[in-house]
Amino acid sequence: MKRLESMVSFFEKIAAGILFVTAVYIPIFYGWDLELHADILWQILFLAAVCALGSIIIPLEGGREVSRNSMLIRTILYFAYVNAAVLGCGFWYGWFSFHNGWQVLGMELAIIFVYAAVYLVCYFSQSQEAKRMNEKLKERE
Amino acid sequence: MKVTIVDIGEGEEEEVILKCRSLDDNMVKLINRLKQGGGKLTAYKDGGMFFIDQGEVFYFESVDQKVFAYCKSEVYLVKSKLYELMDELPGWIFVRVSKSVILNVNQIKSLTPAFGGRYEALLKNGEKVIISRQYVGLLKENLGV
Repeated sequence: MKRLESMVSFFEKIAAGILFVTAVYIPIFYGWDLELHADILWQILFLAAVCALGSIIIPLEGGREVSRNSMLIRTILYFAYVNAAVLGCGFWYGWFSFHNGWQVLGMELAIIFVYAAVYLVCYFSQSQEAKRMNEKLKERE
Repeated sequence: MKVTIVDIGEGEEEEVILKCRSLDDNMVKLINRLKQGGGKLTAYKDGGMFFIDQGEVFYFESVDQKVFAYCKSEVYLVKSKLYELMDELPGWIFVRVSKSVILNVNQIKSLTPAFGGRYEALLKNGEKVIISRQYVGLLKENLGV
């Protein structure tokens, strides 16, 4: 159940991140006048779900206890999984062409941005939690 | 002295209220005992047997099926399993923070986020202990967060 909650939380953050980079990516590579189909919304949601599913396949938190090295390996594996998912889905949906180097670079930057943004949001939320716990620790002294 | 025990509901924080005219030595001892867990622990080091205060232990760690008690600068061997210690130790002071560690919450100086949803506890003796994501809930419950 906790894993499912964690996956839903990831899904929300990833979907928001993809929506943001899509809003940046489309005007850069296709201009402001491009007309889009409603399909793109479902494609974004599907991609966010695929990326969030990776957090269950390669768990980054919850479940078994893991060492620091194992956590680092999982993070790298998860990043590779996200890359494969985004580039695969993006190519399938025709968001970019592998023949256009700038578009591939744009996609890669978008992946890194969303990945880093989700990581930072999680870290910020943990920092807030740590702050509350530290306050309680001080009260105990 | 009258002792009153009040039943509390699920989720309510356990609390001890002392009503006294003044804080005499006995009361201070009682408060310290409650705060630090006044019980003694049988521990072993260099072939000798020692009785150490539970409150002096910063954390217990299980390594290769042996349990060690880490104090400010000394390390003792304890002949109990971690799950046995969890039954013996006062739950408002000692919390399981990973599969192999029981931590004395009173000895935590500060907590910081660590990689992958975990936390790092900096102890008052400068040592660092990792709190697994799985056990963060127990620590939060203990602290009343």
